[in-house]
Amino acid sequence: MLDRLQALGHIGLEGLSALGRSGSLLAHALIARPQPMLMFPLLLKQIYFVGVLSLVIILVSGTFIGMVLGLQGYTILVSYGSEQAVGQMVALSLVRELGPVVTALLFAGRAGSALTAEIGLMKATEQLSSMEMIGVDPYRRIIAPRFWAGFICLPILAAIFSTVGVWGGALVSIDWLGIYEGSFWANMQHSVDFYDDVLNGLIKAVSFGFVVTWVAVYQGYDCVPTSEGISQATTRTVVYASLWVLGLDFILTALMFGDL
Amino acid sequence: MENIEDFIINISDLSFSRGDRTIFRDLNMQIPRGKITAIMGPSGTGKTTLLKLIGGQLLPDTGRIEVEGSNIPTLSRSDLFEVRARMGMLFQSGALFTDMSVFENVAFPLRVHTDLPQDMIRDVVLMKLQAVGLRGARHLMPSELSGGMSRRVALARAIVLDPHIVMYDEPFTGQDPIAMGVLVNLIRRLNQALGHTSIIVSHDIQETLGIADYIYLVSGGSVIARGTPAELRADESEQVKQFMHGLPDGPVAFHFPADDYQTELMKGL
Repeated sequence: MLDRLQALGHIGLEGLSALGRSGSLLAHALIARPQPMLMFPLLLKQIYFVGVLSLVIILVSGTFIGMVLGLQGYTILVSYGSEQAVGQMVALSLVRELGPVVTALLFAGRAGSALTAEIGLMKATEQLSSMEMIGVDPYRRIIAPRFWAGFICLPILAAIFSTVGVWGGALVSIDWLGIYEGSFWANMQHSVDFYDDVLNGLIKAVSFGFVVTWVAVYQGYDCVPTSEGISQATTRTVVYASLWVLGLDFILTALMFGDL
Repeated sequence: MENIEDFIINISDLSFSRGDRTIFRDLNMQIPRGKITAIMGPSGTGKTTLLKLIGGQLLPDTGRIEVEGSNIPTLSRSDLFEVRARMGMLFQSGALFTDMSVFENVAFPLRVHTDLPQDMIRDVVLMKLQAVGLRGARHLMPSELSGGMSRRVALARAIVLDPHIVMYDEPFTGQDPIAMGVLVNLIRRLNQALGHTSIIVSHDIQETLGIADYIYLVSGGSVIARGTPAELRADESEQVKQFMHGLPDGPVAFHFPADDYQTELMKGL
């Protein structure tokens, strides 16, 4: 009994200390004397790595998810005779939920794990230590540009995901299932509100960008610098980031749409 | 060794522990300016940890580490980075930045710490690369270098800002005899030519004795012997003799502490 209590306390303390370390990492990277001139080229490079290189998977997944939504929506709605509303359904589910959430999950797998592995390997090969000894703060040089890049890229990727998803839905509904084009787009235009839907979706994407990138850079920076440690840290990034995204999504949805 | 003015680093009553394990207990050490000082001792005695303490990457539990008059553990982060610009460190693995070419690796400290124009950076980098014999390899990436070459590039990077102190972490480990000879020569020549203070952490006895002016032998968390290479060779104490002559058993036991051998075998599972 006492052992279990002790173990529980140990886990609690570990969790709190990890939270403290990750918070201090964030504070050092973001608040401590930003240097925009030095940051900009590094930031561009990271935006390319985490954003541009994630484009293919986002485009392909977005299109397919939009197509599936169109198909599923049609088969259900047609039994109520309201298949004209399929455009509305596709757009709302993408903009409000699937766009930000699926993008964040894919982003955690594609870019988050890469960030963790890269920073972890830099730690294992003493590159971070040598940077410190040269007198360059790795928080600012390594962590900050990667963090900002993820934070900037995820909302943009989510917007791209939703856009190609709507196109995918339109392709299936209009060209394949033969829904009247005018009512497909008109229904969508009437029902999707900029503030309620698009902006709320964007807020979600921004929050997910923050959380996923934070988890990824923290796991990389805090990992045990061995091959086993890096592999565990990479796995943790994907698992923790995904859980955070799903949990946060529920809370944000409840706050945004709970009283509708 | 009595005049305090001649010491660039002054470590007094340093204690450091990791978890329950004590690494250093009341360690005292003075590093003379402009000389090559070696810190030697068996593996696992915390020699690399000592370099990290001097560089401020780790904080001691108690004690002072004064580098050119500044007490490292009490410095603010920005002051510490300023002091570090006057130190160069050669890591065991070289620790080159893998996303930059050899040239960019050596130019990196210049770019972040100085406002020199591009052509001057180029000249300085080429001069340092020439000194380590790798001017021709400046376009290569770190992954294309051999172990000995990466260590030489890392050495060029460590001296590019003309630091007052250069720390070498196990510079000879895992090097073939030619690369080892090259490194030994380089360390000695650079120390004479540039006039900095060199600190070598190593357990390669012959190479280190050959170039060091002064040696500290560290074991069990404190300094067990100090002196010039000749003095240490002549030292009669058991511990020093075991290390200097590479005897497998002695005060540093061959066996990791364990229960009695016979009892353990008889006990079964």
